[in-house]
Amino acid sequence: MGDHDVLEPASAETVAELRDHRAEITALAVSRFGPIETTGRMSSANRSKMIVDGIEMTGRMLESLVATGSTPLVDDQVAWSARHLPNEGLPLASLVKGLHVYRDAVVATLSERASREVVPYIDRMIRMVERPGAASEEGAP
Amino acid sequence: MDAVRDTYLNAILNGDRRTATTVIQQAVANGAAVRDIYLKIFQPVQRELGALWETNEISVAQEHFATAVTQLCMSLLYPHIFTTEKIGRRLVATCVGGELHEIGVRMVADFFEMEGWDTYYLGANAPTETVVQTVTDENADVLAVSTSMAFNVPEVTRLIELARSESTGADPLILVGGRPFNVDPNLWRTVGADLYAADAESAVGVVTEALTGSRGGVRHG
Repeated sequence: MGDHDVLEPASAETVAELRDHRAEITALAVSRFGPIETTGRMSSANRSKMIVDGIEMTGRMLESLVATGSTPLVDDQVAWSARHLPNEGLPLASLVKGLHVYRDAVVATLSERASREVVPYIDRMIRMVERPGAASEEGAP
Repeated sequence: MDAVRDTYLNAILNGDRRTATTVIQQAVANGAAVRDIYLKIFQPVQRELGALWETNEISVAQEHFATAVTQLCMSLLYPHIFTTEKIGRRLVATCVGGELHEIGVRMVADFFEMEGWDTYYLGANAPTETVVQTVTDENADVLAVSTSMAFNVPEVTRLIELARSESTGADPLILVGGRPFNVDPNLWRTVGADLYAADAESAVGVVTEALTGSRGGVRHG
């Protein structure tokens, strides 16, 4: 990906704080998401479900990545999402939007100290998805 | 073996379970080793199916059907697998809680069985406490843990911590595997495992080396 910086593992306190507030962050992110752009025909119920499922999955994934502090795993998960989700009717623009919304919900919910440790993970994900050609890359960089 | 693999893949993509099972049974009848069936047919076909699903070329239903056929074929091979003389070693093999992708660790269990181990395969989505209790009850030499999904990695850590806790009295070697560990070559150490293997064949190799002391230093305190 040309982005060789590595993420710092989060502290145990931050991992616990993120875990304890995941439901709260998810609810806030879902409430702030707004309309979702999709490709192909999709009912409004399915669009709503896609938002909820996507935000919940983002939270579960982020919790695991922050807990392990694994930069290769972050990159792999984003690359996988960028390849797969467009085939599910979710354009990359919507994936980026979801990550920005989740980032804002994290900042609004967690302590400043925890946010400082978690946000770099989300920012790296956003940078990866926004790169040209992100949807066609094979696996981790 | 390539021709058998292609026939097998085409059969399951066409929903033809009968042809899929027949071609596998014929391959064994013609002298193919069960290990080769696993490594040269089941493993690459499952990976191909995953790639086809990822690019939306097959549906979730087709992927599930295909996986079910592979599991059926593995079961059909068990008369050939459970024939090795026992060596007095015990393996517990499992997916962590929440993990549904079980074929990989099932292959690991079968490879150990072919090496003469007594294996206790717990399958998908096994509750952590149950796994640890089984390790204790069976006095397992090795606990093999698998996850395909990255979001289940913390549960791997929790399982390993619980398995090592003094209250359980268990002290198995702990082997991990699955996509997250293939992606990050240091992740197995992060979660506290003793060993990592990329596939069933190498799992047997690294465990054998560890138990015979030819790979010193892999064991945690």
